[in-house]
Amino acid sequence: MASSEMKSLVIDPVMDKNPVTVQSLGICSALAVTTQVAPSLVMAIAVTVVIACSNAVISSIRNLIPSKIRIIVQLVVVATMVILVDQVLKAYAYNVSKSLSVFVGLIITNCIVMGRLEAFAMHQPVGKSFLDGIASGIGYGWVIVLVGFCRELLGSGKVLGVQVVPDALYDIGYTNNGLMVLAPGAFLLLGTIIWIQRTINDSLQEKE
Amino acid sequence: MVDTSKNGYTVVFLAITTIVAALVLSIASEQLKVKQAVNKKFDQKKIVMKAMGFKIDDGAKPADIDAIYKKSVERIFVTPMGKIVSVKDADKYNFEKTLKPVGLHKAPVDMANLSDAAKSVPMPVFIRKDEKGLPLNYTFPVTGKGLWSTLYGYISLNAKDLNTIEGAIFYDTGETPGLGKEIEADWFCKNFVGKKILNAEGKFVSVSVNKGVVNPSDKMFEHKVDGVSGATLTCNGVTDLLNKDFHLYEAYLNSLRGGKK
Repeated sequence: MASSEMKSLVIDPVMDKNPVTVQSLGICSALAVTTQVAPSLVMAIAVTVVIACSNAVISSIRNLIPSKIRIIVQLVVVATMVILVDQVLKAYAYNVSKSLSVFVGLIITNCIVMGRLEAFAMHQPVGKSFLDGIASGIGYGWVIVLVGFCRELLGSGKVLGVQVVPDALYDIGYTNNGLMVLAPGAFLLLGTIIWIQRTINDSLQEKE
Repeated sequence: MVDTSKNGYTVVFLAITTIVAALVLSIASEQLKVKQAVNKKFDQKKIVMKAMGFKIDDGAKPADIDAIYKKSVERIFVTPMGKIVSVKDADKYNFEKTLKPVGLHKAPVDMANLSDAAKSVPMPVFIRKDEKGLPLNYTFPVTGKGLWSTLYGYISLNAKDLNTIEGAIFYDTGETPGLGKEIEADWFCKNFVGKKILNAEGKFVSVSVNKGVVNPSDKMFEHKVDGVSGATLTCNGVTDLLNKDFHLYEAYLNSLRGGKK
C-alpha cells in the first residue's frame, strides 16, 4: 500500500470525508447521546468497534456473499456486533449502558455502518477495511465528543460530571444554557462545526 | 470459485451465516450472564436505597453500598393478608414474576375475592432502621401496566404514621422517552414526598396522579401528585398500580398501625 493511499485511507474519513459533518450520516445519535461527554465517548468507542469489526468480517467473506442478499447479510453481521457490544457494556459498564439505553441498539440503523460496508468493505481487502472502519469511527467519534463536551460545559457547567464553572460565576448571575441540554442545542453546535470546517477547507463548499 | 448467483447457494449461505451469528451471540450471552446478573442485583439494591432516602452516588463502590445495606436495611416478606412469612432462597425469589400467575400483576385487583394462591403470595418489605434498630421507613415494590410496558417502582412510607410517603422511585419502564418515561425523572418521583395515603379520618384514599399540576387549594392536594403532560395513559397506570399495591400491603400496614382503621 502506497503511503499516500494509506494516508488518505486514514485521514479522509476523519476530516474531509467525515461521515457526520460532510456526509451528514449518523446525525440522529449525534443529537441523542451528546448531552454529556461520558456517554458520547462510550458511544464513539462502541460505533468504532462495530464499524471496524463488521467491515473486517464482511470484507473477509465479500467474495462468498450472494449479491442479491448482501444487504441482509450485512445487517446480520452488524446486528450481531451491536448485540455483542451491548452485552459487554451491560456486564462491564452498567451505568453507562443504562444512560445510553436504546441508542446502543440503534447503532444497527446508523447509516455510517451500512454505508462503509456497501461503499468500502464489499470491494476491499480485510486489513484496509478494518482501518477504514477505525478511521470512520474516529471521524464520527471526535464530532460527537466535541458536541458532548460543549453541551455538558454550557448546559450543565460540568465536564465528565465534574463541575468546572466556578460557583463564584453562578453567584454573579451566570446561568447554564438550557438550550444546550435539548436536541436543538446539538443542531446548532453541529451546524457551527460544519461551518468552521467548510470555512477552513474551501473545496467542501458547494459551487454555485 | 463458487457460483454465488444460484438459489441453493443463497439459502445455504444464509443458513450458515445465521447459525454462526446465533452461536457467537449465545456463547457471549452465556459467558456474560453472571456478571450482568450481579450488576442488575446491585442496581436493584441502589434503587431500593434511593427510595428509602439514602443519598447514593452513581459511582459508589459496591462494597460500600453493601455495607450500608447490611447495617441499616432489613427485608421481610408479608402476604396480602398481613401475615409475615419466610421465603426459602430469598435472594433468588422473583417477586414480579410471582404476581402474574395469581393475577396480582395488574389493576384492578378484587381484594374481597382473592384466590387462595394470591392470599399467600410473599411480598417483600424493606425496612430502613436507624442506629438503634428502630424502623425509619417501610419500602415496598409497586408494579403494574403503563401504556406500552410494565412499570416498576418502590414506595417508601414513614414508619411513624405509616401514612406519609417519604420516597418514590420508578425505574426500567419501557415507556416513550420524553413522555411516559418522564415518570422515572427526579421531579416526578420527588413529587410524591410528603403526600399521604390516608385521609384526615384515617380512611385509605391512595395517591393519584393528577392531570397537570395540582392546585394547592385542591381538597385532595395531599393525595395528588403533578402529572406528566402528554403521558396521561402512563400516569393513569401509575395511579392504578399505586391503588392496587397499597391495597395489597394494607393488611400488613394496618397491623403495624395497631389494627385500628
